[in-house]
Parts: sequence; structure tokens; C-alpha cells
Amino acid sequence: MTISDEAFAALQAAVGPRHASRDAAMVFGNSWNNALGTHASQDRLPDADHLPVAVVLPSTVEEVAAVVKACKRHKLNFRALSVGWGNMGGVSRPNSVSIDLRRMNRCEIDAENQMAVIEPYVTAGQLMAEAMKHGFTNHVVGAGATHSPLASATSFWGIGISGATTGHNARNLLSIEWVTPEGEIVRLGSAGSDLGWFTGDGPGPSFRGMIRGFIGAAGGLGVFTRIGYRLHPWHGPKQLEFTGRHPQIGLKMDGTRMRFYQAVWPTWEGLQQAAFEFNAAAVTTVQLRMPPEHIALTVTATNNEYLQQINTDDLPAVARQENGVSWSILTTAYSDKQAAYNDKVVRHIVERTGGRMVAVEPEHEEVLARNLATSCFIPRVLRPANAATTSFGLAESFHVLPRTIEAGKALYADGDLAKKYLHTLSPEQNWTWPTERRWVWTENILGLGAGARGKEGEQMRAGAHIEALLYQDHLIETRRCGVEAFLIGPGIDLSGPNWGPNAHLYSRRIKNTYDPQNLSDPFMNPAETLPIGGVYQVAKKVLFKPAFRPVLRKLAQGMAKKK
Amino acid sequence: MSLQERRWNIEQCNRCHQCKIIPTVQSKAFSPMCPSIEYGQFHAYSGSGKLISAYALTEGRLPYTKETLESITACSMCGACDTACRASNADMVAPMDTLYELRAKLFEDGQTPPAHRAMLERIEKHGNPWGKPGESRTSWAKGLGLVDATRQPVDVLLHVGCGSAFDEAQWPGLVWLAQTFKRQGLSFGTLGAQEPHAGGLAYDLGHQALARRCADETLQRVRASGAHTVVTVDAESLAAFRNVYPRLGVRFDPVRLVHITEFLEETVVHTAEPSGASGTGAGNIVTYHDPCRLGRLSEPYEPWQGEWKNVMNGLRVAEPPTPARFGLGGVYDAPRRLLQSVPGTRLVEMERRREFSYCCGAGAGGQEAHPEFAEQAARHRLDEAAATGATTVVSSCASCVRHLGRVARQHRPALRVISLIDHLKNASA
Repeated sequence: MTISDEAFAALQAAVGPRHASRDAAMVFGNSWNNALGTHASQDRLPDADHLPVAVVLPSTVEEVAAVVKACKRHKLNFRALSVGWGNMGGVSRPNSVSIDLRRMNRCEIDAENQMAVIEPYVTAGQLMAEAMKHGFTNHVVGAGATHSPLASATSFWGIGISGATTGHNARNLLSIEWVTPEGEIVRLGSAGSDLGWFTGDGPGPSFRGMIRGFIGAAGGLGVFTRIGYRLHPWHGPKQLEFTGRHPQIGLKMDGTRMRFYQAVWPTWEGLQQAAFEFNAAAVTTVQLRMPPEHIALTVTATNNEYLQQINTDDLPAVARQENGVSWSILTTAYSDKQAAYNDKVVRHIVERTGGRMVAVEPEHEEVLARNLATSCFIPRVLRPANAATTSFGLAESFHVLPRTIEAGKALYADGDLAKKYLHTLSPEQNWTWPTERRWVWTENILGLGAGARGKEGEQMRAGAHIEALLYQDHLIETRRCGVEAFLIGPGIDLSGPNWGPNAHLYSRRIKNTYDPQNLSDPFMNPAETLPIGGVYQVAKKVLFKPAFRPVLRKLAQGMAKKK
Repeated sequence: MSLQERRWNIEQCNRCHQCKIIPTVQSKAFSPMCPSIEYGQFHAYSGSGKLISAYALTEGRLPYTKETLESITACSMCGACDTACRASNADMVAPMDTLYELRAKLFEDGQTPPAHRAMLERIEKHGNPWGKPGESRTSWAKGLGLVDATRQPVDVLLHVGCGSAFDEAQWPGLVWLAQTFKRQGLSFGTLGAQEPHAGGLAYDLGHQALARRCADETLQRVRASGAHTVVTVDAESLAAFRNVYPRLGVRFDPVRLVHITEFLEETVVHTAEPSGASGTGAGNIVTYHDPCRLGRLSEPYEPWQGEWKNVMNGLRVAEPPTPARFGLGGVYDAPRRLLQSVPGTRLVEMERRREFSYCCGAGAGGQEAHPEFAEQAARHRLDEAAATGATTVVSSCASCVRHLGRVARQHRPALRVISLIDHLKNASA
């Protein structure tokens, strides 16, 4: 698939000749994907039909609008791409333009209003460094410190381990600058009235909820170019002081106002009860349950070092399975008295709920504390095979917690799945943390095995991903848990009817209203109904029975096939 | 190792963008890691992007175009992407190993940019990338009566390197060094006009056979000199000796190999011999620019042969384990200790330092083939230096000093850029 000279000239006119390219190297650079969201059956480099026909690098909202209008005029699809782990903004359809927002990276801290105004290519780590100078920090999602807070806040999920105090990005999003799929520049909330970027909700219905909601349209509703973004108080140092040696760089702990705890419980119920109490006491800055092998991967520099520790039974206590029912906790305080209070409360809750503290080596404590403060090591847990998938998580009351662990274990206990596709480092790989000190985010990270290579292997892997998701969805549904984040992509028609009053139909209605020509990439936010949705509602009653698992696998593999 | 053999490692790249950003961000302004992506902006310019291009080449899907070639060669091969990548991916992607093969592939396919080809031709013909007459390599030493180590055995071989030997601005520093060695009664000499090009630049530019010839010739001369220690003044040469030669199977063992800053640290700092009592450094706020080729690229390279195995149904481990390479094995402390030995010198550090130093853009033919790229990198580095409050930028690489100095004179005239040797020389005056 190629772009006509006329259409390419229009793109060049929009952004300047230096910043538009249809060169193969530029196009491949924006297509590579080896992470979450891999388009089914595409190898690292997509086939010619699934490569963008051009890449553009706009530097202003006006240039973005001009690009979108050019796309509309020349019937080109498009998708915006910024920065982060993986290539979640890769185009999924032929005849698409990749709008790379790298040149839009302005960042302004508005300390008095506890917010920042940011563009798409500001990374979470960059924003954090600037915010901390003013006594604030920002939310960082699971993709780690190199992700784009704007992309997360406007377009996708937005859940991260510091959620206890930094919330989640659907609610960190304030005013929005939006280039609609038709190329119109719209400012939502206070910015629309030239009143700054303080709030995203203006008079009347909130557009913020409509274009974003809980999950976001993931590039299916135009391009977001600037936002007001909420910052959160940070009681730690104004500049992080690092310890250790690369890559085991830690955070200098002052031993008083910033403290790290590793608490473990004999049962999930104990951990759950402690979570309720921590939420009420509001003493933890970051609170994370990370599976033991992911802790081990964090405190080791290489896979070989990790394996050696397994083989010689030298894993530190913090990374041992027997200490796996755990909360890793970071507390910060404005004063010594507050720190002492935090300490007393944390220890009291741990003790009262039947937990105990695990001794952590100082160098491990510093590395783990740095991860809690900055989320910098999250991508590292995928180091075993540099590939993983996820259950895409649940947002619910902490009451759901033991059940999701069971679901994670069930996925790993499933003979076929585990044997063929999942690595066997542990019996479950559940990540859990509190968000807004109220509700739980819980997610089973499925470490994919090395698997087969090539296009067939990629398809098998993508199929396993879908199969695991459907299976977990089935496990969760039968237990009637709350909101899940599977309302994206083709899955919207499978699980959508179960969650909310036809939420999938409403999101589709919004998509089709604002993007009547369906030019803005619909991979995650489909414009059309998937016929299998209706059949699945009936079939799922038997699909998960052992005798029907081959059928389920075929279904999953079929869905993984590239269209 | 060919690009084909690097495919598995390339496949481990998950496009996480860490190769563009320092793993220890302290400010947004000075968080970039890669001068190439800062210049070209398209992802193809980044470490990850170059890997993707390399992969596409192995699939026969990447035609050589002007844009493609610029995205590969507007790069100083500084190794920053490699060091940053290892924060999460450890030894699995190892971008530099692929980037060297990518440059070699370009050379093999006749796609090396004309400016780089000209440099390679001059290295072949004249033994230096500028085409200067070989005999002028000794111009700096006229009248010093230095021992010719090609004729007379010495204990210590002073390796000068092209970067200083052909740059008149560096000569006073070289003279001071030679006189200091003489005063110390050191048995030393130089290879004079017979000193070969070290070959690191040839390797960077993809001509691995030429690099090998340079390495063989250098080793032969070193062995013939009888020296037990080689002290090189040249950061680029040190990177070649420690990091490139082992890739070519060329080893100095048992000859000891050190950089001049390491040698001076031993003889000046550790023996407490005053390098300058009062010195002109009094009240001088300096910042130190870690040269890529003295820092992360001088980390000794240990060839690895083995395979990546899949254990526990998905844990990839190297068998045998790969040598640990995180950029930590470069020369970082010696220059700093030398600086701090100068009375009146106050060292203020830049945010990006040691293994995370930001490249000035001078290396690997960046200046010659893509001067705008090289100038942009230097300007950015000088901005960072100025932000420390320093009035002087000190570095231990002739190329960095020359390049940063030239750009500073145009864009940051208040900043003085000098070599560490000159700083020590001035202090001892």
C-alpha cells in the first residue's frame, strides 16, 4: 500500500517537508511491535498492508489538525502515536498515516493549582522530575517512566502502582485540547473558555467522560494534543538521590521521612483486611503487591543472575514464594512526627491483621523503593521472554481480591495454556494495588513463554493471549466481580454485554458520531459490530468445559488471525 | 557476527523508548540520552529504530535511500542507547553489537556515506582520518629528544593517538606530559611517525577489515617496543584497544593498557606529587564532560560465544552467561580525582555523567557527514554544562574538546572548553 504523491504533498504542506516521510525506515520504525497489543499474526515487522503509508511529525495543534484534514480529504486512515513501552499506537489498517507526536513535548508546572499542562511526548519520568521540584509527583502507569501521561490520561486505561495517592488517569485528566477525527480543534473544559487548564468538565454534559470514560478510545477518536493534568503532593525529596550501580540503581532512603516496608501475611484474607485498614488510615504513599518472581527480577540485573539464585536457592527473603502474600509499602512524610505516626500505624495494621515484616537487604530496599516511587522497573518484570499479556485488570472493591488470585492460579494451572504458552516461574503472577485509597486494581500478568517464532508463532501467541483473557473473563464473570478493562478491541462484543447497560453499544455510537468516515484507527475502539458477539453469549456456557476447550482454542486462534 | 546472527537480540526490543531517555531523569531539559533521535526526530534515528532498520535489512525489505542512510549514519555511535537499554533488558538486546554490524553491512553494500568513505580512504593511505602527512605525527615532539620506541626498548610506551598528534592545540599538553614523564625518570618512548591509526574509527564506520589491520599493526609495534605498559593519551584509541580489539580477536595481554588519566592518577594523585601548588585553577568552577569513548565505550569487551536458552518455559538465559556490561567499566574516577587534585578547582557535575553522559556528537564521523547533527548535540551538551554554573568544561578526549570548543566559541562564548591535561598543565605552571 502506498500513498499518492498528491496526498503526501498535502501531508508535507501540513508539517513541512522535513517532518513527513514515506521512507521505509521511518515507516518500519513506527510499526515494530513486540509488546502488549501486538496486532494478531503480525511478526515484529508487519506485512506491507499493515505498514503506515507515511509518518508525520507535527509540532503544533494546528499542524495536527492540518494533517487530519489532509487525511480526510485523501481518504487516509490515521492514528496518533507518542511514547511508552511497546507500540500501542501502531496503525492497524492499510492506508494509514502514523501521526508521531514526538515534537510536541512542552511541559509547564502550575504548582499553585497542583497541576501541569503537558503535551503528548512529555514522559512520566520527565514530568515527575519537574513536579518533584515543586513538591508534587504524578501518576505513572504500568508501562513505566517512559510512557506519555497525556496518552494515558486521554486515551487508554491509566492505572499505575502509585494509585493509592496518585489516583488513576481517567480522573487526573483536566482540560483537554482535542483534534476531532474531522480535523476540528476543540478545547474541552475550562480551556475552551480561555480560563486555563484547570478542569475538564465545563457546563453541560462532560465531554471528558464521553471521549475517555474508564478505558479510553486508544486512538479511535482523533488526536489529543495538550491537557491539564493533575499532580499529587509528594512528601519525599525535591530531587531523587540515587544509590547503587546501573542497572541496580536505588533510591537513597533517609531512614526517617521516607521508609520502605515489606509486610507478608499467611493468607490472602489477611492481606485483604490490611488493605482495607491501610486505605482508611491513609498512611501509605505507594502500596503494591508484586508476585515474588517479579520482585526477584527487580532485584537482579540479568536473567542469568535470577536463574542462578533459583538454582542455588539464594533468592532473598523478599523474593521467595513463601513470602508472596505481601504488600511492598513506601511511606513519606512532611515531618519526623508524621513519619513516626506512619510507622506506628503501618506496623500496627500489619500486626493486627496477622502479618509480619520481612527483613530486606538495604540495596534491595533501595531498588524496590525506587520502583515504588518512580515505577521505573516495571518493564523489567517482562525481561524473562520480553513478552507478556495481561488479564487487563479489574477495578473493584478489595472484596474481590482472593478471587482474582484464584483466577490467576487457574490460568497457570490450565495444562494446555501453561504448557504451551506461559512460563513457569510461579503459580500466579498477580499485581494488585489500591487506587484512590479506596478500590483495588488487580491484574494477572501472564508471562508468555518463548513460544514459536515467525508469523505462525505470533498468531499462536496472540491466540493464547485471547484464550487466557476469555478464560479469565469467564472465571471472573461467574463470580460477579465489578468493572473490568476488557471492553476494548474485538473483545468489546464478547464481554461488553456483561458489563454495564450496553456500554459497548454506547461507545460505538460515540465513535461513529464523531468519526463518521471511520478514519481514526478503530483497533481498540471498533466502529463495527463483531458478529461473533451474539454467538459467544450462547456458546460461552459450554466453551469453558474441558471437552470444548479445543473449540475455544480454535475460536481464540481465529480471532488472532489478521484481517 | 552478522546482522542475521543478531536477529534474535533485535527481536527482544520492545520499543520501550528507554534508549532515548536517561534512566535517572533529574530534569526534562537534560533527560535525552541519544543525540541521533534528538536530531532526526523520527524513531528510525533512535537506537531502537536503527535495530528495526537492521532487522528490515535482514528481511530484504529496506531499500537504501538517502533518508534511511541518514537515519543510520547521523549518529556518533556513542553507546548511550546500549547503556540505557540495559536498565530493563540487561544483556538481551545489546544494541551496540547490532549497530556495529549495521555499519559493517552498509560498508559491505557500498552504502557508506561519501564523507565516511573519504575518512576511511585517508586512514588507509595516510594513517589518519584527515589525510595529514604521516611524518607530521611527531611535530609536537620536536626538540624534546624523546626515545623512539621502534628502535629502543622502553618500559612505558606513550601512545599519542591521532586526536592529539595532529591537533596543534593539543601539543602544549603533550609536551608538558613528556616533560613530566622525563622529570619522573620514567623509561618511556613513543612510536613516533610509525604509530599506526588505532582503528576504532574504521570499526565505527563499518570497515572492520581495516580496523583489523590497524589493530594488528598496533599490536605488532607495541610488542616490538618491549613496553610492559601502554599509556594512551587518546580516548578514542583506548576505546579501540579495550572494546574494539577484543571483538577482532586482538589482545594486548600481558601488556598493561591504561589511559593517561589513570596513569597520572597513579603517579600524581596517589603519590601525592603536587601537580600544581597554587595553580591558575583557583576559584575555577569546572564541570567534567565524560567522553563516550573514555567512559562507557572503554568498558573492556569480552567476546561471548554461546546460545540463548529457554528454561522454565520462557526464561531466556545465556549459556554460558554473558559478561556483565553496563557501561560501568569505563574511566570515570581517575579524571575526577585529577581535577580535584588541582587546588582551587571546584567540580560541579552535570546531570548526565559517567555511564549516562550525553555525547557531544563528535565521534564516528558525525561531524564530517552530518555537521548539523554534531553541532546540535554539542550545543545541547554545552547548555547542560552552563546550567551547572561552571565557567569551564574539562574533558579528556581531544575530539570532544575540539568539537565542544568550536561550538562553544560560536554559541557559548562564556564557556571555556579545555582538556584535562591542559588544566593540569596550567595548574602546574
